Amino acid sequence: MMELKTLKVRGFRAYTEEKEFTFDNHAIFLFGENHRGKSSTLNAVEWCLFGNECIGEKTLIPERKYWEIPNRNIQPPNVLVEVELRDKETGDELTITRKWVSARKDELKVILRDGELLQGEEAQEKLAQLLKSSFRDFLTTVYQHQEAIRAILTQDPRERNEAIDRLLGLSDYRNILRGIEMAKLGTEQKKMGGDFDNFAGAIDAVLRSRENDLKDKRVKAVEKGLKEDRLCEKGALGIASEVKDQLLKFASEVNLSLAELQVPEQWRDLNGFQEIADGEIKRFRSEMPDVKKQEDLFKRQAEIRALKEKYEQKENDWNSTKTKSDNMEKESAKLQKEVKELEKKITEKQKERSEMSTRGAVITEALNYLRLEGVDKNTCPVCETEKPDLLYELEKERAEKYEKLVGAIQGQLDAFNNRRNEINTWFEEYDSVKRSFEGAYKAIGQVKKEIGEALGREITAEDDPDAILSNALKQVDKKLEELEKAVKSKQENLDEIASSLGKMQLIVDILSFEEKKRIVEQIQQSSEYLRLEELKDQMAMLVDDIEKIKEAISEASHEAAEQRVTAAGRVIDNYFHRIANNPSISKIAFTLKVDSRGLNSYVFEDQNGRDLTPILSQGDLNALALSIFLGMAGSKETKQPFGFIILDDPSQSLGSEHKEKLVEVFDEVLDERMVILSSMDKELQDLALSKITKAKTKYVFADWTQEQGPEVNKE
Amino acid sequence: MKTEIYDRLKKLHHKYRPQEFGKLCQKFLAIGFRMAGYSHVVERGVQGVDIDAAAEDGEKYTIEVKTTVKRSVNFEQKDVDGLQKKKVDGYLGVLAVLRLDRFANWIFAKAETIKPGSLVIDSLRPYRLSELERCICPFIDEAINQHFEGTMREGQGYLDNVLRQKGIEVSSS
Repeated sequence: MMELKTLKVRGFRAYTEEKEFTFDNHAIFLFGENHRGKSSTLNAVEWCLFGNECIGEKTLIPERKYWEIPNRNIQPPNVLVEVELRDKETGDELTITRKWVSARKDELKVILRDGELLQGEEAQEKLAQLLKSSFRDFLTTVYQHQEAIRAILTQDPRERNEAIDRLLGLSDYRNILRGIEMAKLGTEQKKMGGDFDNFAGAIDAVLRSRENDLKDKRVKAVEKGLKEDRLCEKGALGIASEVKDQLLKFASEVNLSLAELQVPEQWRDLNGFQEIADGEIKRFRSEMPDVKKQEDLFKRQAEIRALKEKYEQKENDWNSTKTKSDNMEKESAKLQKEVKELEKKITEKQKERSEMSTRGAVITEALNYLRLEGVDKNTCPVCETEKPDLLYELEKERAEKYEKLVGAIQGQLDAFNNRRNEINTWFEEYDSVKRSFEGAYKAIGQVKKEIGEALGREITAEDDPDAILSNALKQVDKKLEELEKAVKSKQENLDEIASSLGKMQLIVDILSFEEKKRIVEQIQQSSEYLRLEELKDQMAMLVDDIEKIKEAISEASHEAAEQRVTAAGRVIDNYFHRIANNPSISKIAFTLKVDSRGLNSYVFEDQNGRDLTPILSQGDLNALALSIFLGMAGSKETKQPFGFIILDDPSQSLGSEHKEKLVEVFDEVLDERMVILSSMDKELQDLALSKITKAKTKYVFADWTQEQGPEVNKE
Repeated sequence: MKTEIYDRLKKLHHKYRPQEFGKLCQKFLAIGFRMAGYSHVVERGVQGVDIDAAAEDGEKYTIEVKTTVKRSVNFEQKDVDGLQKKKVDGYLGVLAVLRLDRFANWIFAKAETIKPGSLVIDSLRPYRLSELERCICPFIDEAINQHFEGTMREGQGYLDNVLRQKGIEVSSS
């Protein structure tokens, strides 16, 4: 067991300047008021041994969550803690130095007894090897921190059992068992099986769907007249051979060449065969001579029909213009005569109007004269005849006779002119009809020429092009009818070959699916699958072996716990009676069970076999926690690597009597371990100094200043 | 498992209820042992261990048969007791498990170290009698191929006749 020999602290939390402590007796007291640096001294030991393990939320100590290592008054930080340990049995010494670099990093040095210096990871490994403890182990078994020790009694059973295992030095067993549990090998094994099941399920789903397709294809194959014994490679290749023969025969019949078409040796190559054969069937359908002839005749038919239609159209045009022209010709003589008469009438009327105009001009002149000043209004200036109201009479005569008459003559003239214009327009139309008639005649001539060219003969005036075209059309239709029969028969022949190819494809599909099924079978024969099987076997064996190891560890842990509980149980019972002195509890039974996971489970019961924790006061709980801690520390059965325990302010919630008894217990524990007691409790300090019978070293934390840090005096 | 065998077993499973399907598999297994050369084979349809198989060279197996479509089987205390009883006569207790799955095969596991309860089939792997599996399984497949049509038609009665014809002792009531 390792005991503390010296401690050197600088710049760590409450410390500024370097201070050194010598642990030269088994009883070490750190006395002083609060905020004098006592706890920083104890924490320095922890930090030196465990570094950042003792900082942060993971420690489960609330105030450690945001813990700062360097003293804020020293800039830059200059933190160093050095602990010297001595092996109680061998006397070997070990110096551990930890220097703070940053919140995440520090420098560790370990000097072994032979002077060998280890640093960094090497030092870390060696230290872990020598201490054989985690910080949680240290906190539970060495450093009696109030929260940690009370957790033994008040937290959930799992944590309590874990803490007691630590106290009993059984952490290794528990950690291994927990490690095995956390590895969840069984779950991994199930997952492995599940993953493979998913893979198999996916393959199965694909195969099931293909199986339905296969059923359909088999039904179709039967419907197409294929017998079961042909649904094989031989059957498919046989059909391919037949198809090739049929195509060759057909090609020969229609005088076409067949592309190179080889019947493969394996059904897997039939897709290529089918592709070529399909292409050839399509080609034959479009390129066989009868089809070509058919196409030419269709073109001929269309051409003749178009000419016939054109001729009929032109003939209609010619006929209609001819009729119109003939009719107009008959009308034209009559209209020419009418025009002559009209012109005569117009001349007469123009003359008449001219005469009337002359007479009117005389009257107008006379009227103008008579309207002059000084003229005899009753004497005619022309004939000098005297007539009363001559001006009035003349004006009346001009209005009633002359103007009216001239208007009538003009009206007749207009009518004659209009009629003459109408007839002129008619003649213009007649000229146009005559031109159309001539155009239609020419167009017919053109069509006749086209017909002649199309039919290869001259169309004379004696010929009836329409009848000639009808005859030509009939001949083409007859030829087409004959060809259609021949083409239909050949197309049916090709349909049969295509149908054979379809049957062959059905067999290929069936064979392809069956091959897929065989591939699935081959998966099970593959080296990868066999390796997977091997892995599954190995995994199962590993799970089985680990389960056996777990059982063995659990049994060993239980046996060791049994021994230690038996030994410590009496001591705990004794300590609790002495410290708590509770009259209602005559006996504490510290018993051990094994839980469903194979882990140790500890129970503290009273004399009546009932759980103690729910009925204890705060003081009693503290007393029980101290009893367990000290009982374990004092027991020779507990295998702890540390030969010292640290008690930080253990008298919380304890009365005077409790404290006196507690000090008596310390005195006994000192037979086995070094006890470092830190306290601000004056009563406990006095009791410790007066009642502890072993040699003591007392450090008094007298004061603390920002600049100097703790003022510590050794007494 | 060959896909052909799987397809056939699936059809049998589909036609008959799980319990009867289990009995059919048990009978195929008995035929498999007989075909593999085991001279004395007993198949029990109702009570006791499902199959006993003994060879001339003294190799003796007493077999509890379990079939399932799941990933686990129930191995009960009565099964353990039944197998245990035969141990005195020199029989090695075997738990024969078939999971009806495309990628599954028969697992023959040495029963004496297996604790009763609900067993994940994969957890039987450490106790596999691989040599025996390799020897018997091809014959079981053959038996299924040979007698599939008859079994589909007539079920257990058909297989009982086959068992008797092959000189297998059948105890069905």
